[in-house]
Amino acid sequence: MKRELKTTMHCLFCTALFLFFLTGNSQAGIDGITGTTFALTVKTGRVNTPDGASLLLWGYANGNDPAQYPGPTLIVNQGETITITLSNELTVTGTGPAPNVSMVFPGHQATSSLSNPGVPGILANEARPGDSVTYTFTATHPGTYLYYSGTDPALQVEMGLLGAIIVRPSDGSSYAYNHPDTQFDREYLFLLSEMDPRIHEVVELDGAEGLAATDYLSNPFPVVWFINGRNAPDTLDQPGTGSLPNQPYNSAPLVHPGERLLMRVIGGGKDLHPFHHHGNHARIIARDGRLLESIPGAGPDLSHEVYTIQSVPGETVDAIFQWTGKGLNWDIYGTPEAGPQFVHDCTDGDADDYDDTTYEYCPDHGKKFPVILPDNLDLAFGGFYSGSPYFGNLGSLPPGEGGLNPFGGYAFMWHSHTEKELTNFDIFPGGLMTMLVIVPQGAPIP
Amino acid sequence: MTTIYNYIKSVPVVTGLFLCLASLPANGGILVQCPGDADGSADWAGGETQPANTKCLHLSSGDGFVTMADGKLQYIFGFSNLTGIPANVETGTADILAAGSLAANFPAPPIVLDEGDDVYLTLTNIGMLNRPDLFDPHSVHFHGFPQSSAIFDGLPDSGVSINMGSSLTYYYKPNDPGTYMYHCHVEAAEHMQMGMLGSLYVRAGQNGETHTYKGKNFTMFAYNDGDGSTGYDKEYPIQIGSFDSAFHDASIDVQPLPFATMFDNYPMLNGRGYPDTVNPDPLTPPVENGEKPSQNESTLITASPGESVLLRISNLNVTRLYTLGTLGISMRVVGKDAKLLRGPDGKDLSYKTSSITLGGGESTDAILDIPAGTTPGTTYFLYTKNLNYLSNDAEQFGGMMTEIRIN
Amino acid sequence: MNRMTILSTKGAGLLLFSIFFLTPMVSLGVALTAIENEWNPPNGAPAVKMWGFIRDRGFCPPDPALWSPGQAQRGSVGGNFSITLRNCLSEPVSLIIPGLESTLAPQTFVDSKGRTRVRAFTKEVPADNGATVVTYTWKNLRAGTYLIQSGSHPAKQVHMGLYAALVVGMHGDADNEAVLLFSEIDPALHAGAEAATPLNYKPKYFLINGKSGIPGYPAPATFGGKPEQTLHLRFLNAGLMTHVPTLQGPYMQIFAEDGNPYPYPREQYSVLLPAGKTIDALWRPATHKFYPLYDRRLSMTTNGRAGGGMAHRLEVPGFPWYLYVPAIMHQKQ
Repeated sequence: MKRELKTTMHCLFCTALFLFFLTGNSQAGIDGITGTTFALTVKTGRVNTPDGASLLLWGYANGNDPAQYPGPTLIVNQGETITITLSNELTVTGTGPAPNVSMVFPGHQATSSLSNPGVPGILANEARPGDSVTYTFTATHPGTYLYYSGTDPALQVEMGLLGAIIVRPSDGSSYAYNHPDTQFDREYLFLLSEMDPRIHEVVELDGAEGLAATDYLSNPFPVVWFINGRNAPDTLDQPGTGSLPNQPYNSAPLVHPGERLLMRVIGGGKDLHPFHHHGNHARIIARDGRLLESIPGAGPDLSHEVYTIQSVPGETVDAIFQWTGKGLNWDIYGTPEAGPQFVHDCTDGDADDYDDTTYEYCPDHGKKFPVILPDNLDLAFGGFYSGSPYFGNLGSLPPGEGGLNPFGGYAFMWHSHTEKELTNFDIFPGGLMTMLVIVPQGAPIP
Repeated sequence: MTTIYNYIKSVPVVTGLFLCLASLPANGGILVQCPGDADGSADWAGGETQPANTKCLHLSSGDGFVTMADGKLQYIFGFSNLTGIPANVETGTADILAAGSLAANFPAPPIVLDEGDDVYLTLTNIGMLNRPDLFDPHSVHFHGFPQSSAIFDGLPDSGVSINMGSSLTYYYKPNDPGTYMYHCHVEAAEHMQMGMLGSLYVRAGQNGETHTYKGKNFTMFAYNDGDGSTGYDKEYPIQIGSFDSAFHDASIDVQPLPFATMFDNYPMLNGRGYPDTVNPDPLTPPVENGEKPSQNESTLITASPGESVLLRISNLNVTRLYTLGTLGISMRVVGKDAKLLRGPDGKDLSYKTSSITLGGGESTDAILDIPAGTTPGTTYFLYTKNLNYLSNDAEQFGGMMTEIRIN
Repeated sequence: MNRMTILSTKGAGLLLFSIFFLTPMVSLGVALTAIENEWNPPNGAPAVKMWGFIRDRGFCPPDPALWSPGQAQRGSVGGNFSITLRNCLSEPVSLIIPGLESTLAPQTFVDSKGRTRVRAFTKEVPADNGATVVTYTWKNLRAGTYLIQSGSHPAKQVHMGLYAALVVGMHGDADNEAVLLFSEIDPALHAGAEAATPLNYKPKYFLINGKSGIPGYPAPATFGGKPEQTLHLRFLNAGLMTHVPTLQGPYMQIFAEDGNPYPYPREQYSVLLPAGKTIDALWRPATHKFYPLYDRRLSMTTNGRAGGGMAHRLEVPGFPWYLYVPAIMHQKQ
């Protein structure tokens, strides 16, 4: 690949996270809207891609806010009755009328209300143009869910009509489900999707009827891929940034060693995506909002660990990821041979093999770094490289290198392992990718 | 309003220059690091002493050629095995460059480790003889290794990769048996499509013990199962892969690389399409490689009646998921992504099936229990259930398929 | 010699359900003919040439027929199942059932480089205008759901339409069953099947039980059991692409794949159904109504147009169930 181009993208990628760290006031975790009554609107917008292009969006909006991709994440509590009024303000090109729109809620027994039933459709009742429909369902079970358009979904989901639902368990908001083994310290949403720009272009120029003369809907060939509605490197940019007015959600997971990170992974589009999370295995504890348990109340006793989560369209996966560096067989916090700044203790008062504060794995304490690294001139450096192999340490790097990992954390790429999906319109890197950064205990996580 | 995004766009040109300078060939030198090995051969010949539980490997990265089953010549990037050639001696650099040039294998040499080994893997970046315009660094990503560190993860964005003419030694202590894989993670969509991929698996510490499962004694096991349920008599690494010939042709022709239109037209197992998959020998090297064999991994599976055959299946293609299935015999799936299929309190989650579906970066351990009464001469099949990929490009009766022959 | 039993092709769960209980532990069989026929797309597009199985009449029928994957064949747990096949096609055909253990007799040829290749996974019925019949037998059947496919030139003959369902037994908790067979048609490969390369398979029609939905019309329906009774859902993917059958609202207990029970059932509203896969699941409809079931890969398109395709309904009828006429019989194609 041509050097100049990839360097450019590389720097875009790095700078985004750098700014994310520096500003530090962004909301981590999962952005969304809460309550029991929601007013959503379908309208048009633009999905911006990092190459400077943009695609026509049909998106769900929170009331009078702009359309967004994905739609607002609805965060609700178990047991509540949820009411959603969907208004259809979609406008389209061409001679035909704007289409009906709708929402479906897989995993929930949703009905349209008697007072505002809309009109019947194939999968759900629908809102006609300029009209609305009201849905209700009871959030009987906690977990991760999704919603999307049930009206010509081959077209309308492609155009952007999809979003996430999180149901908090009655055990509280630091649990994924009603069992102690589902406790987490941090949670992040990974809603995976893709777009075939040809479809968006035809709809924008000729209207949806123009697609009948193509095979784009029957054989989509996406060339842009998304996490939470953004392509890398925009995944790492600030949430709600003004440059992405219709893509408010980012994907920038941060975690300390030993913390339990809940991954809520949703297949939002039409394709399967093998979501490979560097760093460590993750334990899949639930699918489609149901704990993997042998009998009710058992907890996730049928859970298992993977290093790649196979995300299936319409399916949700909850997984717990944890990283400590256990068993690397060298002291990632450094040894005195490497310099006086690395002198440290590993204090394991509670006999769990880990330092009580830093979560250092004590059996590896004091073991020397096992090899000699080549001279800097022999190496190419990543922007997330701290300049030091040691955790929490900043080393010296040639001018212009690294420097984008201010706490000396370990960064791991979380990405589609269908590696062609790491591009935006032919440009690598991009697409379905973000970086997890493990930062030392004490380093702030917004 | 000047947005963050606009600001970012104005920065990169200057930084790009720095990076260009930094990644010119540095010729810092070839250096193999391996405890107890004085001459850099990554082995212990001539009076050298191998420390206990130590494993060394020396791989090169470079280019070369392979032949598709329909005869199509493909330019590739790849790894080759240089272990055994003294590198840290006066003639070392010349010998390594000679051995590592045009030596790329597809798939990369399988890496077989034992649980608890101290593993030292040295990667020497030879460079691309057919692409003198490229100065790409390379890396080894130990895909799926739990609890990795940034420095040895092989991810160029968060760590380091090695420039042309130099060596980088990775260290790992594989604590967890199972089926992993490895690949270069630099420019991953390109370098992986071009062929820098291979099998990697870690044998279980339980090996050598005897466990009886369903009336059969086993001494080799996929995992530390404690009950012999993952016992096997023979094992086969099988890596699903596929090439887009248009991409490879664009690479050798120094044309813009077609990422967006990438569509693999050569579905393969272990770097070959059927019927080359059942050729037990290395394929005849293309003349463009000189005498260096580049396709060394057969996928012919042979077994005797009553044997249990462990298939260590991984997928490293970059364009799609594949469904791989059997005909005539079922698979018993005992492991996924290098973990024994058991719940946290030991519940057995293994299951039988006729097919598995793997995306890139996934692995499955499946055991074929050949019935004791099977007639010798029986043939079963392992092939993709995406039947349109039983093709070598347009050529029929090929693609992602191999045979399981009972002898 | 196995006893030949020609199964009734009449109807859905009810009839097959009784046959199962009348014929435990016995050998069942059927006589089929592989012929060229055609399928009429739902949108008025030209008929698509297909290859399919019909009940054998002892000769190659001269009259053209409409293609469908047909009713599921039924085998009995522990018994044998046989198909006697006549071939009225222009090339040899054979039969395989990937989920069942079997002894194969591969047919090979030697290519121009001297390499031996398998062209058929097992013994074939020659293309001799129906003169020869070959009987294929599978022994000691396991309960489950299985795909019957052509084992000859599978990259071509399967997508041409040579597939059918075989069901064996029924889950002990189930009162009714429904077979849902997913497949695709790429008309471009059917027009000039000899010339086109299957690698570039791009289906335009997406079928469940041989039927594509019609844009703008209610989706085709299959009998979905009774309220508060357990339905055994049998999903089969005879296509070449992955599909994700999704039940809108309720959950299923997914309990087996390829005729192999899972150690623990999986509770999901969606089913990963890759090419060639069969999945068995249980579901208890709460009330009488039409339950939407569709492919979450969103193959809900018809010849390029949004709508139709793999949209389907499970019909849980409200009036007395013994008066029920299967929806599939009054669904207009």
